Amino acid sequence: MNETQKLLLVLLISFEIAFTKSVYLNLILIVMSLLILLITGNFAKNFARLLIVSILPAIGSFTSFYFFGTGNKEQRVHFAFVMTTRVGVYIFLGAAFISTMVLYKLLRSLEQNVKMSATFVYGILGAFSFIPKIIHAVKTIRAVGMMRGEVLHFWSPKLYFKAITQSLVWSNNLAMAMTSHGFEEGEKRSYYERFPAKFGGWMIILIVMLFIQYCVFILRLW
Amino acid sequence: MTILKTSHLDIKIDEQLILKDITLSIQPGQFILLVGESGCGKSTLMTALAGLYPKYGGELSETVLLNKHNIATIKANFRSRKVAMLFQHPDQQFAMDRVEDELIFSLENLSLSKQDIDKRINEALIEVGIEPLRHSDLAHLSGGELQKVALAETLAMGAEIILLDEPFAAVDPVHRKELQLLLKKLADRGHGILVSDHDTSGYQSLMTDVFRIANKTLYQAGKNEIKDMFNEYSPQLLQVHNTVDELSFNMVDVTLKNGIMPILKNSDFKWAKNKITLITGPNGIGKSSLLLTFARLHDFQGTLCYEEQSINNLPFKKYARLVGLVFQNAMNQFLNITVKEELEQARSKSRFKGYWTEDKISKVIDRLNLDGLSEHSVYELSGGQQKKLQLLIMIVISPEILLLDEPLAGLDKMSIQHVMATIKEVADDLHQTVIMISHQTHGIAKYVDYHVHFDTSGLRYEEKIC
Repeated sequence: MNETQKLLLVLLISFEIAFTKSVYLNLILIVMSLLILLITGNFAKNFARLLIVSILPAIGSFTSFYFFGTGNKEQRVHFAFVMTTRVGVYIFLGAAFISTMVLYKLLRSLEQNVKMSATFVYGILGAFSFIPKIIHAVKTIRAVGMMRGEVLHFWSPKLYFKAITQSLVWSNNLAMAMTSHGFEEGEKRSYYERFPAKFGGWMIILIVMLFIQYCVFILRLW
Repeated sequence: MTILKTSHLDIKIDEQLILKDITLSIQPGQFILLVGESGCGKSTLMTALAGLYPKYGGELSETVLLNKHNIATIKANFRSRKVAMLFQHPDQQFAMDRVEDELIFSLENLSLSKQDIDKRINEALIEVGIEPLRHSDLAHLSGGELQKVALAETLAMGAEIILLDEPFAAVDPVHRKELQLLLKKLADRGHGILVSDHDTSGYQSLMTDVFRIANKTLYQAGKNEIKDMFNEYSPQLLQVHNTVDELSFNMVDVTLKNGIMPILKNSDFKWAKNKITLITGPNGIGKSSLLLTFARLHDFQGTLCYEEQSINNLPFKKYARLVGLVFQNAMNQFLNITVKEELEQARSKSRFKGYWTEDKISKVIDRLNLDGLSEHSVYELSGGQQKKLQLLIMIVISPEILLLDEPLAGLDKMSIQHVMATIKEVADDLHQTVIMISHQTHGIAKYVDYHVHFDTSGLRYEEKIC
């Protein structure tokens, strides 16, 4: 399964469960996501953090639909659970996707499979590689400020103004270097590594989606 | 045969005339050295020759011709097979974050097949001698290594004409020599090389022509001028200072790491107070990390004392006023937009306001050749001007200890003398301690009290500066 197919599957599932009202299906999806996290070895590191992240929205949606929802008590309990587990699905499914994804591969795969523009691909890659640089730059600017007798607090506009100016200079230099290295917008490029959409991937998407339809429409899970 | 040429070219940036009446042609086999003072327009000329203007700002009166075609209108993916440029800031010229991925990126731009890409990457890395760096993260490489990667990239693309804009500003003498010889080899094999450099050492037997930019125009240097230019330097001896009496920093059992790479292991070392200490050593050995450690911007293990107190005991705000660092990358030093704002800020926060009168500052400005720039944006200055300005700001601030990371990189011979004389004068007047890193050591022994060599066996005092 390539990265584009993974993204497609996640989008399809997310879209479908936005309309279904099955608590069990949501729970099944959460368990599957957890299994993926477990298999990819990111479980211990991520689980606690994800749980903390999901607590507030989960409690929030549960209480609001339980106390302020419409219908009788049974309907409200059901719907409150649906919304709560839906939050869980989004969070854990997203985490499972990210834990198996490499940004470079995802973008290159989108470039090859859905013809996303190379400028966009390398723009995003460039932006991501700038993030650690910018964090480092902000630290440096604060240190420089202190050496020059000026305390720059994290709310100080000077700090960000300086960080932004520096980023602009970097991005201009980088753009020049990329042009010098043969990058031209809209021109044909070759692919060193191919990320073709695989038959197996389509089969997985098909099976997962059929399973969801089966749960929703045939079994009519609670 | 690829020829890059232009005649009677004027270049304007933001309506300001930077260069006029430039006539130059670069052919295979030529190895041209381009010299000129900081800020004279060397980078501008290179950028124009590389076909990056007007796309990136400059305005040209004539075209630059690549085999009779206007280079600015040739698509980048065709142009880069013929002409490529190495930029002044080695860390700002890569789109990807690993060596191999960066080379793949540029070769994909040329629409090459996987087999071709593999073959070219192998050949280029072997040619430049950086096979072991293939899978390295660019963020972990030193300035010299980054320039080698950039050179490998241009070779892999097959560029016949290579323009190098002060490629050795942050490169140690050993790597510099290697790279110079490599460029010569490329020229002999049919590449045309144009390299700008302030430091002419090592070029005499290599180059075929020398051009100089002066008074906004370019001319070919005559025989006599060339002769003067290549007074080769010999190793210098320091006036002898055997022991360090008064201490500034005292390192006891200090261990430093760069990522997971150890730089210094359990090192004991004493640093002199109120003296100027020069640190030399190969690229990537960890000199900058050492200065960052002194400035408390890099982690360490062990005990590091400043005037008998552990440096971590002082609040950082107070400490930062005592120990000031001049960063290797000048841009890091600036907080404002114009030169004037920067200097006003420095003066208002100086520890010695009485010493730094406006008169004194303007004298130093003249001496460093920074006059007439006060309304300019610091980001528009040339690399050399930025270096001088950042230094000026920090000597006006006047911390007790001034740490200088490559303050002479990209400066011409005269500027180096002026900068060193200024540092020495101020340090003597204000009883400052100066610890500086420099690859550029010609003619500076007379300003220096101690010389520390830093290599794989650690730190040690040496009297000879090579």
